[in-house]
Amino acid sequence: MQKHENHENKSLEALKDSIIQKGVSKVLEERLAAGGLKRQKLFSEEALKEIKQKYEEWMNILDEKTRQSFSRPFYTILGSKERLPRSLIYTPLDVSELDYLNDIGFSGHPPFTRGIHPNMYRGKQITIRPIVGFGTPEDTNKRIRFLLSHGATGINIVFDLPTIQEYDSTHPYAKGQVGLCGVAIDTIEDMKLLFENVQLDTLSVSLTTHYPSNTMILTAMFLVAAEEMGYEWRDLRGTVQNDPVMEAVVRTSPESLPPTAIFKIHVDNMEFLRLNVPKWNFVTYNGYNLREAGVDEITEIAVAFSNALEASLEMMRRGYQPDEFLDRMAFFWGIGNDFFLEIARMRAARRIWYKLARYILGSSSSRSWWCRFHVQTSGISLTRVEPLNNIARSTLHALAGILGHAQSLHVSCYDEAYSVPTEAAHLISLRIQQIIQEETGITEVVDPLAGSFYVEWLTNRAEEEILKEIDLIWRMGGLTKAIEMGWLHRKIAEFSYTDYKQIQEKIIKIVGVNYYESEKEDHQIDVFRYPENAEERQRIKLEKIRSERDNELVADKIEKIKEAAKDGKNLFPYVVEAVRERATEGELFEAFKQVYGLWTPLVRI
Amino acid sequence: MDASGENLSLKRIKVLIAKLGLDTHWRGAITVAHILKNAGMDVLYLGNSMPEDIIEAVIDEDPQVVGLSSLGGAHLSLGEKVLELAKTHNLHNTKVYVIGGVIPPDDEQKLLKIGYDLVFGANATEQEIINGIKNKLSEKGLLTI
Amino acid sequence: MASAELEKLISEAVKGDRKSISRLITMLERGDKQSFHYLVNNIKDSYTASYIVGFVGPPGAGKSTLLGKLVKKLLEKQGGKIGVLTVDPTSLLSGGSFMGNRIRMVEDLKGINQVYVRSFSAGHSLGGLTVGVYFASKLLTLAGYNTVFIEGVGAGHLDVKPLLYSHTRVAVLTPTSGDIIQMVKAGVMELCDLYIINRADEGNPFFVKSQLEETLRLRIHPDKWVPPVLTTIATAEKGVQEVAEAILQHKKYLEDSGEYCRRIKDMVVTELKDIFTTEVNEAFESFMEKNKTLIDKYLKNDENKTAIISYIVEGVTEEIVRRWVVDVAET
Repeated sequence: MQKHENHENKSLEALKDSIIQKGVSKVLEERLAAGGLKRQKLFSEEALKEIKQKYEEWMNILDEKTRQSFSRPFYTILGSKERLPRSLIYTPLDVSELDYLNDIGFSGHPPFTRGIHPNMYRGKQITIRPIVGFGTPEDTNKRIRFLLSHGATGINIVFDLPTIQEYDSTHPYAKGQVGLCGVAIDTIEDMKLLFENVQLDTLSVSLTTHYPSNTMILTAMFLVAAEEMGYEWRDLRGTVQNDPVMEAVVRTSPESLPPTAIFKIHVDNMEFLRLNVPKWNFVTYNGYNLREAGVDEITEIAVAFSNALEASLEMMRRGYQPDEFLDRMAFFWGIGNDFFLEIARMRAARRIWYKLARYILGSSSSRSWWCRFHVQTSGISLTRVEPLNNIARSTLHALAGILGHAQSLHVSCYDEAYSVPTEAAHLISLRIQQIIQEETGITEVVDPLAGSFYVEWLTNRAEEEILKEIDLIWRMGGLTKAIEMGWLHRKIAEFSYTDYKQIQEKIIKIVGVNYYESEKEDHQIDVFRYPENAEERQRIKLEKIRSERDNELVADKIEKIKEAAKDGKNLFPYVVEAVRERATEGELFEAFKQVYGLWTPLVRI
Repeated sequence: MDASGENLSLKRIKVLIAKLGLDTHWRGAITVAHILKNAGMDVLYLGNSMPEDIIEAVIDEDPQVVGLSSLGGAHLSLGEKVLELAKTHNLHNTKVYVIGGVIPPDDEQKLLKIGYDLVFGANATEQEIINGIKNKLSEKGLLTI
Repeated sequence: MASAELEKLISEAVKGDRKSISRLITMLERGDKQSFHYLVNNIKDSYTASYIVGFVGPPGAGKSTLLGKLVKKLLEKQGGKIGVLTVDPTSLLSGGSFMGNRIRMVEDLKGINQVYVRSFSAGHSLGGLTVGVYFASKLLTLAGYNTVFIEGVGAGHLDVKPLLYSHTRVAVLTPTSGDIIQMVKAGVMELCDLYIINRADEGNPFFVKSQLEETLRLRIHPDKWVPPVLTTIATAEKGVQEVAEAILQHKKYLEDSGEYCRRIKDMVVTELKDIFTTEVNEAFESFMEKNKTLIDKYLKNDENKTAIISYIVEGVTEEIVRRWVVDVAET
């Protein structure tokens, strides 16, 4: 990828304006019509006519009660509820306009409804990528090597709260929280300890750096660590999240940067990583955590796609062609209880993304049209009572993920509601995936549910709803604007309250909790115990580093970051320089804060 | 005054809700804020706070109920510190202290032992929360001035 | 509470003990008559010693964020102690409230001993300010807080009260506040001494500023204070210094011109009116509670409505007198 110096920004501005004025769907509609696509209906008119006749006869024999509630909403945890009511039965009449080639097509071929690769799971098995991270880097390093020896082909690192929120382990805010729920990383030395004796050039490494600002810092540390361990950046494979919505909306923190700063750093990360680490996925738009925070299946995708569109337009403004960066964009969805909707919306997502990438952004390479996504089975759908039931729930979620053709999958562990998973729980999750893949034959056939009247109808409806919401977001001026105005925070606050009430009122049924309620509290599972005194161990390391490094040089490098920020430059290379000199994460975040100031979101109920 | 807490109103009772430490999840805290507001309480939402900041707020704002949300695993380390400071400032007996979130069963007992009046897990119902708070307020004689 | 106990509490509060101050404010908030009457009779000094700044504006204008930075700046400039009383709306449906202003100020103000921040729910009184808040400001003055900010509910027309309780009245708007000029002309914000256009990195702040300045020039008599219009970006701390200076300038103007005493008289009228209105409301509710059948009676076509209203007026008046006499007797 290279920057094009004489790029045309006027047409970009015009595009952005028309999306804001008319909405994305309208612009899409116009461009598709201009493309002159010819549609051919799958079902013949005669067949449909006859079916309609018989259908009406059939309706008349239904009893009154069934006819009254023929179509009704189904209530699940954080589900679309009244947005997508379901009918008792689906027939060709529900998808009478179906055009096989234009709406469904072949796997690996536009519109990609059936999957992004022709041979899907036969060609590449789902990457098994378990989550790992706790205590100090030394502690986590041991678990990484355990999982790799038991068949994991990728690794997903989670960080502790101080690291995620960008405070050093010695910061007063970090007190009592170091090494809990994730691994503590303060400097590049910690990164080296984390990956000691791990082959980085054959492993796919996912760094769960949720936010743009911590992505920049932690990825810089990873890259410099890998370099010092003898690897070339061009050989490294992996993923980071780098999602502005995570930083600005999903999480809460004592200190937060303003949304516009977060968005800028987000695109800085994309630009730098695309140019310097070619095999790296520089963004994973995180629908999973947004969903778990309190939105439904539709909003999850609408927000992620709006985010991706906004970032793409910014990349284009900086002078890059869409085909130069779209192929590395990735998404991350959660899978909840509404089995068929989960599958349908993944198919819809692929179709929508193809249209957006091709007709809105104007990309021409098919690699740019793929909606690549990782899925994780929903944590919030798992219960604290009768925790072993969660194995059944996660299995169903995993099945939906596989039928929806995710590129990679993480199955949440059954002790989710208690704490970070134990080794035993972790293993079961791994086995669930392996059993589905190896024992059931499900992955032998591409998109087996295609052609189901219900699934195709639901895919169409999901697409409609998602596009409607993307339109809404753009009419507000784009996602960053919508966030600044508090739209997304308010949505989450209201929706999660509604959900909660519906659980209380048994409108949403949860077995063992409000249906077939559990008789006794189930306390027999083993709960993971965090290793002690991670905080102390990190403190000792930090003191040593601070005394051994060239403090003046570090201060100088940090000043350069601030200057670059004021000049509107890409901050990543400056952060890399500071990291080399052993600047700590806290020091780097401090620099961001000083330049961009702080922002408190408008949460009102 | 009714010992069972029935027919007692929570109107004008002030509750301070804070996220313990750096915990990132806010939906639980906001849902509880919603519930308590609808029950007539005045809810002060403090966001992420360390124990010292929480106690500073308790001193100035003088809530009858202090509610802490913890899904980040720091319920024991930071939770204990909050109560320690409360006791130092003589703010423990005159208020109801509640903590909730993702808390293992053994730790629940520990928290009650160190002085939390109520501990709620993620599946706590609206009734449990409201009645629990009412009962404790009644016990501590806080339903009147 | 025994008289002696109350006196001790008040004397501790006046010495500056925060817990005592808080406890007293809680008592006032929850309608404790004893402390209320005691303060009414013993706070005469607070009138001439106080300096109250009212801060109003629509939701989302950034009042709380701005206040946090402003208070910090004022402490740097003039030392002393500053109190902040912030008010959020009460839900008419549930009677509860969600108070989210402190969280925005606390970034700048936490750990600073010279600052006292307290959040209130507006209650059901019209104008969004309870007698509790007003008396809290007096208590803080007695306790040595040289400036007290009252941040209002910010719901347009209901916003007047904080201004009536203040010596210096400040309106915080944004460049996209809808039609600011209309709002000002509608009289709600007409009485402000300082206008701040926050979030000046959005929309067209200078256009709005010049329009506002024009409008104000036409309204205010040239001899008196001409309200300045300032632009700020609170999150970036831009313009906060100027706001602090403008407030101090106005304070000086009040003292030099004698306007300070005139405003105190206005504040007293408002205070008395509010006390009275609260009494009337409570008495009315109490009386109607005991006479629910009147409602059905009033709805009947053949009943003399004037007679019923007279009956209520008499009954409520009796109730007011009775309650007040009892109150005063008990304290």
